[in-house]
Amino acid sequence: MTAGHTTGHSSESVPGPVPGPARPLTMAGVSKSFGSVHALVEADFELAAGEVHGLVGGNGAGKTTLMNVLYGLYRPDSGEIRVDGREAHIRSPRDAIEHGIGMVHQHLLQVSTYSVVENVVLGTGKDAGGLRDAARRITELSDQFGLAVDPRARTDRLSVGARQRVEILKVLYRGARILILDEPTSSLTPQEVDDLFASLRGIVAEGTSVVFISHKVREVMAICGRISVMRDGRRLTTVHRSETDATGLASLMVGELAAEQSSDVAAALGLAAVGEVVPEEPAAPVPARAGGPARLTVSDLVVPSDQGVAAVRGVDLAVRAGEVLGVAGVAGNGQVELAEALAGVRPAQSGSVRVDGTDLVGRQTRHWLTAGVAYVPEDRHRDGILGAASVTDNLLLGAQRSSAYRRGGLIDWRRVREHARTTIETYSIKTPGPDAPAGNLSGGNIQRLVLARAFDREPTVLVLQNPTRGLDLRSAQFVYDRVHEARDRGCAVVLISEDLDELSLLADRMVVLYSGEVVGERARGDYDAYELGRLMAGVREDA
Amino acid sequence: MSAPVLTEPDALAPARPSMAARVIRGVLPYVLALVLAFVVAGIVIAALGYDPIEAFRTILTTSFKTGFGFTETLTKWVPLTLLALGFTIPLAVGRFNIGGEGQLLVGATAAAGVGIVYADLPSAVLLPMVIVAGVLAGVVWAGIAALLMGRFHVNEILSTVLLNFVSFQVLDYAATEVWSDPAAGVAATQGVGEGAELPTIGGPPGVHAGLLLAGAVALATILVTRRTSAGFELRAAGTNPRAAAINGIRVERVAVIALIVGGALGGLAGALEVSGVHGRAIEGMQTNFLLLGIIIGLIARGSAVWVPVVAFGIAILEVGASSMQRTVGVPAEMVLIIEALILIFLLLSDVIAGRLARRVA
Repeated sequence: MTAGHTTGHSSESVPGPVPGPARPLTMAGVSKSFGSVHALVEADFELAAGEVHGLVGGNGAGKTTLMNVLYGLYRPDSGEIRVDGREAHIRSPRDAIEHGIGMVHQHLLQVSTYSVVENVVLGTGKDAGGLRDAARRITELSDQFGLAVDPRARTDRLSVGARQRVEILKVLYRGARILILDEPTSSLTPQEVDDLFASLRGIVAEGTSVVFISHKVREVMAICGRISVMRDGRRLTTVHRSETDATGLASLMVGELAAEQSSDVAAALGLAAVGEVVPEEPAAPVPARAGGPARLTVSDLVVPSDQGVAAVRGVDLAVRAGEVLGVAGVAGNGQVELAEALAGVRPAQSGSVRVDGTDLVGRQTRHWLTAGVAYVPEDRHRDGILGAASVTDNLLLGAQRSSAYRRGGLIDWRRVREHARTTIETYSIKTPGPDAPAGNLSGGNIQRLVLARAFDREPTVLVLQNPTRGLDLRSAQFVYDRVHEARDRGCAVVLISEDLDELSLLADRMVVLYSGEVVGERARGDYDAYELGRLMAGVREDA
Repeated sequence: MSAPVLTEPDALAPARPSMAARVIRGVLPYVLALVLAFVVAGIVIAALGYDPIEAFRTILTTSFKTGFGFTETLTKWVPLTLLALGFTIPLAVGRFNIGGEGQLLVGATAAAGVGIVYADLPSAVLLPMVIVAGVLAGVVWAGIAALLMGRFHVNEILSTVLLNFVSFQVLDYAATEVWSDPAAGVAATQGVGEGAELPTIGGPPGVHAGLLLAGAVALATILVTRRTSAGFELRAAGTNPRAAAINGIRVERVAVIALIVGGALGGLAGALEVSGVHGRAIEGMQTNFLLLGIIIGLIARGSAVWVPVVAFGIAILEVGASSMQRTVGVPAEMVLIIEALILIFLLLSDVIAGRLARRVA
C-alpha cells in the first residue's frame, strides 16, 4: 500500500556540491537487507565539516541502520563510504574509530561499576598507569565543551544525562571527527537537552561533525544546520534549516500519509479485497455512546520507565463504555509504559486509574484482571504467550484459579481441553492441535490466541497496543472485528497504536502522546494527518 | 492425559514432528548417553588394569542379587529422590537450590534434637514431632535464602551454597557441644529415643517406613505440578515470567514458595535419615546426596515423573559401587564418573538428536 512515495519534495532541496576540501564523509548507494526486509535501498548521505546534521524519519525508515553501517556494526550489501575523500572499508567499530567515527547509542553501553575515566579509556589499549593523564584530558574536554562530569565518579551513580556525557567524552577522547548521536534526547530532561545542545554547538565549532538522529522535529529544528529525511531505506531529501520550518519538516516526515488520506481509508488499507469480512464503517457518530458515564478514568498518571525516568508524565484520560479511545504517537513516547500501567502490569508512580469508580493503582495485577481489565500487549511473543507451553495451557493462563476450570481443588483438564477446542474453532486459531506449543504458531494465530484469552474474561476495559503490527490483512481484520465487538458489548477500549490508518478506522476519539504527555485530542473525523503528524512530532498546538 | 511437562527444551521444535523424529528426540539421547558413559568408563577401568565387564556386572546386579542389596538401594532412593525434587521444584521457576545438603543437615539436627530431648515420648507422638521438626528446619534454612532472594534480590545460588557451610557448623555444634556422644567414635549426636525411630517394612532386613513417605511426596509432587493451580502457576512462571506476570501470576512469590518447598523436602530427607537409618545425626551423613540430587534432577529434565525413576537408577549404581570396590577392586568413585558422564553425554546428544530430528522431520 505504500507504492507511490516519490513525492514532489525530492527535487526542491539537495544543496549543490560544496567546493573546497573533500567532505569529511560521503556514503553512496548503500544497501542492506535483513532476509526479505530491505532496510536500506541505495541510500546516500554526506556530511560537511563542523555541522550538526539531522537525520529524521519514521520507524523503519533506515536512519539507525545507515549509521550502524557507518559505525561498522552492519556490513552493507553494497555501497561506498568515503572519509575525507578516501574510500574507507569499515568492518567493525574498531575500524570506525580508526577513521575518526564515534557513535553514542540510544541505550548506553557502559561498565556500570567502572569509574568514568575507566569507561572512557576502556578499549583504547591504554595501560592503567595512564589513568591520571586520561583523567586530566577528560577534565580538559569536559571544561572545553561544557560536558560536566567527575572523572572519578562511579558510572552507576550518575544520571542518564551524565552517562550520556561520558559517552560523548569517550568519543571525543578518542579523537573522533564524526560524532553520531542516536536519539540522544529520548531520556533527557528539557534542561539536559539544552545543555547537550550547548555542548554540541561547542563541539562543531571545533570542526567536528555531528549526525543527530531524531524524530523530534522541534529539537532537530533547534540544533541542526541541515536535515536529511529518510523513508523506506532511502534518503528522501536534505533541507537547510533556513529553507523550512517545523510544520514543513513535519509534513515532509508524514507526507506519504497525507497522500493516502485523500482516498477512502478502508480502500487504502485494501481491506475490501480480503473478501471475507468487509468492515462496517461505523456510520459517523454513534449517539448512544456519546453521553454514557466514564468506565475508565485515568488522572494525573505518572509511570516510570525501566530506567526509573518518568515516561508517562501526568496523563488524564476518560473512556466511556462502548467507546474506543485511540492513543497516537511515535514509538518511545511513553506508549509501552502507559499500556502496562493501564493493564496493571507496571506500577504507577502516582495518579489513579479508576475502573467503574474503583482506583486500582497499587493493586496486584490479578486484581486488575478481576476488575475486568484485559491487555493485548505489543510484543506477543515476549509478553503474550508461554512459548514452550501448549495452546491449551496458554488459553488457561490467568484463569487457572477460576471456578469454571476447577473441580475438587484440582484443575479440571477435561473441561479446560474442551474449552480450548471450542476456542480454537471459534477464533479459527490455526494450530496442529491443542497440545502444540503456542510459540510455533504464526503471529496472526498467536494474536488470535491472546485475544481469545482476553475476551474469555468478559473484559470491561480492553487495552491494546499495536495489535495488528506484523499481521497479514486477514488477521488484522480479525483484530478489528474483535475490537468492534468489544465496543458493542460496552467495553471501554484503549487502542495505543503507531498506525494512523488503524486509529482512524477504529477510534471514536484520539489523543496524541508526546514524551509522556497528552498533547492534543481530536474527535472522530475532526482531524487531518498533517495536524496529527505535527502533534506526534512534538510541534505544540500553539507553535 | 494431563498437560505436558513444560521444561522440555524444544520450544523451537518443528510444528509437526513426524513419529520418527519424536522417537529420536525422546529416546535416542538417553540410549546414547548410557552406552557412551559405560563405554568410556569401561576404557578407563581397563586402563587401570581391571576387568570392565566384571566391574559393570557387579555394579548392575548387586541391587537385585540379595535382599540386602535391594534394601540398601531403596534406602538410598529416599534421600536421593527428596533432594532431587528439592532441586527440580525451584528449577521449574528458573531458580537453583544448591542448598540441599545444608537443608538435609539442619533437618537432621533438628530431628535428632527433638528425638533426644523428648526421648521418652511414645512413638505415635514423637515420630511425627521428629519429622515435622526436620521439615520445619529445612523450611527455615531455605527460607533464609528465599527471603534474601525475594526481598533483596540476593542470588539464591550463592546464598544456598553458603548456607551449606553454615549448616556444617550447626551440626558440629550439636554433635560436639549440645548432645555429644563421646562413645560414638565419630562426631555424632546421641541416639534418639526409641519412639523416634521409623518402623521397618518387609524384610528382614527390611526398609524403613520413610520409603512410603518419600513415595507419597513424589506422587504428591506429580499431582501438584500437573493438576493444581499452584503447579500451573509454577510452570507458567518458569516458562515465561513476563507473560505469567501480565496474566496475574506473582512470579517472585511463586519462586520464593518453590525454594521454601525445596528446603522442606531437604529437611524431610534429613529427618528420615535420622529416624530411619542412623538413629542419630552424624557429621558427614550428607555424603554426596546434593550432587547426586542435582544430577538426577538434570537427567530427569526436571520432570516430577522421571525423578523417582532416575533416582532409582542412580541408587543402583551407588549401591553397586561399594560392592565393585570390594569384589573387583575398582575404586567406588568410578561410579560418580559414570554418573557424570551420563549427564554430559545426555546434554551432548540432545544437540545431536536435535539436528537429526530436524533432518528426519
